[in-house]
Amino acid sequence: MPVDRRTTIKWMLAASAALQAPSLSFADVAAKAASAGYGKDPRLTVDYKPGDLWPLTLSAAQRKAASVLCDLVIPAEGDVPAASAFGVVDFIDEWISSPYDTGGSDRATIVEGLNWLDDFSRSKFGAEFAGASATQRTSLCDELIASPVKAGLEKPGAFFLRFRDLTAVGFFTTPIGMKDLGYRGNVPLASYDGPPKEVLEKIGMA
Amino acid sequence: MALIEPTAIQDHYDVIVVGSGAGGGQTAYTLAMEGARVLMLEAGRNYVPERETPMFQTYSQAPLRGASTPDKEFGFYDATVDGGWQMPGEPYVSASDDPKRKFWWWRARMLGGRTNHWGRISLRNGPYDFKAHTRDGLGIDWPIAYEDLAPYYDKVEMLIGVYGDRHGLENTPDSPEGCLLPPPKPRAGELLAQRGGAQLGVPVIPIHRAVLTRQLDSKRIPALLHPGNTRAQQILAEHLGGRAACFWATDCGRGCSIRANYQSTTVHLPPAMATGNLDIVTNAMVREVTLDKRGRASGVIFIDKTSGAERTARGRIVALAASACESVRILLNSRSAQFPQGLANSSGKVGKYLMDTVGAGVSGQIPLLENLPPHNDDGAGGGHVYSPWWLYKEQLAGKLDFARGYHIEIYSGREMPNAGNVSSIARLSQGYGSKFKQEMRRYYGSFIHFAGRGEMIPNDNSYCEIDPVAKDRWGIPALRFHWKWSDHETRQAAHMQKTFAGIIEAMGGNVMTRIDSDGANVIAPGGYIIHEVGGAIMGSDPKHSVVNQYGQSWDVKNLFITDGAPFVSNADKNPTLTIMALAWRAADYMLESMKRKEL
Repeated sequence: MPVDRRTTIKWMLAASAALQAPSLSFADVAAKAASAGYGKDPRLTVDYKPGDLWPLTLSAAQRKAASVLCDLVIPAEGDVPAASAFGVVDFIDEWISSPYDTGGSDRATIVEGLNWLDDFSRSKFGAEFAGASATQRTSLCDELIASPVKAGLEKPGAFFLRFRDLTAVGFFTTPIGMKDLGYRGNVPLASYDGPPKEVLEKIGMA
Repeated sequence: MALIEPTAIQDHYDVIVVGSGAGGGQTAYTLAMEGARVLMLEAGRNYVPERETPMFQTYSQAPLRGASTPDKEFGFYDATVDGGWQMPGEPYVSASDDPKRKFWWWRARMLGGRTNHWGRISLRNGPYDFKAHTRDGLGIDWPIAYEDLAPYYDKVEMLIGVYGDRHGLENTPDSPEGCLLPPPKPRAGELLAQRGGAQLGVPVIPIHRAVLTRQLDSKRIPALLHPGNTRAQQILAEHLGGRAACFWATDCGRGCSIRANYQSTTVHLPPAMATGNLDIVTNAMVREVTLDKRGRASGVIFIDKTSGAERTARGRIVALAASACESVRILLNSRSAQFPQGLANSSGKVGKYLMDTVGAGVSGQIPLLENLPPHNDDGAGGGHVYSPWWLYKEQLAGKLDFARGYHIEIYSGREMPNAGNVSSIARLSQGYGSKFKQEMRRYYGSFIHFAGRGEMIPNDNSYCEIDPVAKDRWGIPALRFHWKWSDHETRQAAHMQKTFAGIIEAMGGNVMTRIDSDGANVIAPGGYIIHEVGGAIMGSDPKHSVVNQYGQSWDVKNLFITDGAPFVSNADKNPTLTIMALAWRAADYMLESMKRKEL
């Protein structure tokens, strides 16, 4: 879907493969223009790794909880490994640590959420989240994803949803994740022949 | 002649061209190919698409998975460098605090300007678009008709390469045989939009975009574009042979290292430089046009951004193509005893009638597109189809509550997963674990977005002027913008939303955007669509216009404007192709005037 990010904004505008419209408010743009990010002229053809551009945030304990949680969101399936094998925790850390507004509200949500996860797990299961049993972890995630979420769990529920969506972004943008999602492009072709026959049949346009 | 240091500038040129985008690129190309000696000054840095374009990078290689940030508003891999709505050290001012009356000014300080990232949509204005006042009593007529510009549209299409076809629709000109390249086949979502649109009487046909669906014909085209000029023909033939056809991968917005789409840096500038007639200086921020004793332009003063030094360049002709607002700024900052209100401004019209394009959109989710067999539909790196405005007759008959039309850009498909599109799919998906993955696969590629792009009528409340206080980092006075949409635009935006929701429903889809009957709440801010034109309009009367039909200043005969500033109206058709056609025509006129020793 050609609409970017979570920012609340009334108008949703053009976007495409070619030109993805940003969802920034004027105030965002003005306030952050002089930020300590990668600047207006970053090199576009080099590989960036989380931590290259700005310092990361998560502690070892938070990273451990995040690693277990992201593998619950995107578990291994067939020969595709679970999310943590794709640097998803690094990506989430990069995201919440950025000098842009991704590092704003998401930073508090994720850091507090991971802390809560361990605290709650210790008080209820007698071990931090990573040390809880698979059944215990699953039952907690089931509670957090419930809609509506139980009274008192609203904030952790919102954290889990946001964490889940960031995990999806981290995983599905990697070469294996893209393939898993069903993306088949980014390869040069001699010709473009339109959708294959089975697609045309499925949409009733054969 | 080539890319040179500011210290290597020659004493005198035939033409100084300020700006290197669509207008400056075309102006310099035409002049240099026909033998004029040209100096091009670009405010940004040199930019080499062959080396700098992130062609096959995946978003996992980019910071924040490529998400848009205030540093890269269109995402990390957007071709624009040193550009955006806000630039450090390059302020502009809004006269109003009301967010609905602010104007967003996009700059792209790089060789080739915004042609490096644009959508490549290349639509001709139609006959009505040049004579809109005659047709409905609103706005201003152009001093030229479609027929005056048609031969230049032909030439530009052949030079840059545009795909599209011919449908004979009202005010949607067909190109003559031999101008266009074949359009790519529609994607699955585009086919469904075609079927849904048909139910509502909305035509969905191949769009025109500046992408080579096959190589340009280097045997046929050079002789048509440069009759009698063997050297230009040879240079162009060689250059056309060096541009590859699209290989159906990577977004055009990243730019194109194989030169399969149009950007000034890969299409206009290389052959122009190969003539030996074009010098280019980058990081040259022009401040003002200088005058000689006779009141003619003698050249320009610019800041060499690398050293901070102030320098001059001299030419027989000065052509401003710095982008509509930047050209206006240069004129207004060129004050003298003879022109106390700014250069070429005896009419008082410099800065007036600033226009952007009306933008509003609706997204939908289409169940028929769920769980499709995975397939590659990268296609031509942008849309394959669009809807030209289809209600001319109803509008003329007074059946609509707004006066001018819009076209619809349609975005669907299985685009490369990035921070934006994956979050959107995730928001719709249920659960976590294997169920969540399954849901993600189900919804991926099932979205469609309709973006309306409509005509704004020029008005007295939308203009720019020099702010009395604000200056940029080089001490050059900055612009202050005034902006107000009229009811014609806001009602049009509401009509867009209603129409798009109807098409999505006709496709059996779910409307994902909140529909607002008050268009003022959904219209994009002025400048957001980055189609700003006007500010130095052309006309046939020096009292009411800044330049004549050739972009030539009424007040200063050897001063021309060849970007979007001379636009008298801003038809729904994206302005770039028209900027190029006008620039070619203006450059032909300069060549003839020089030949006749008038200039």
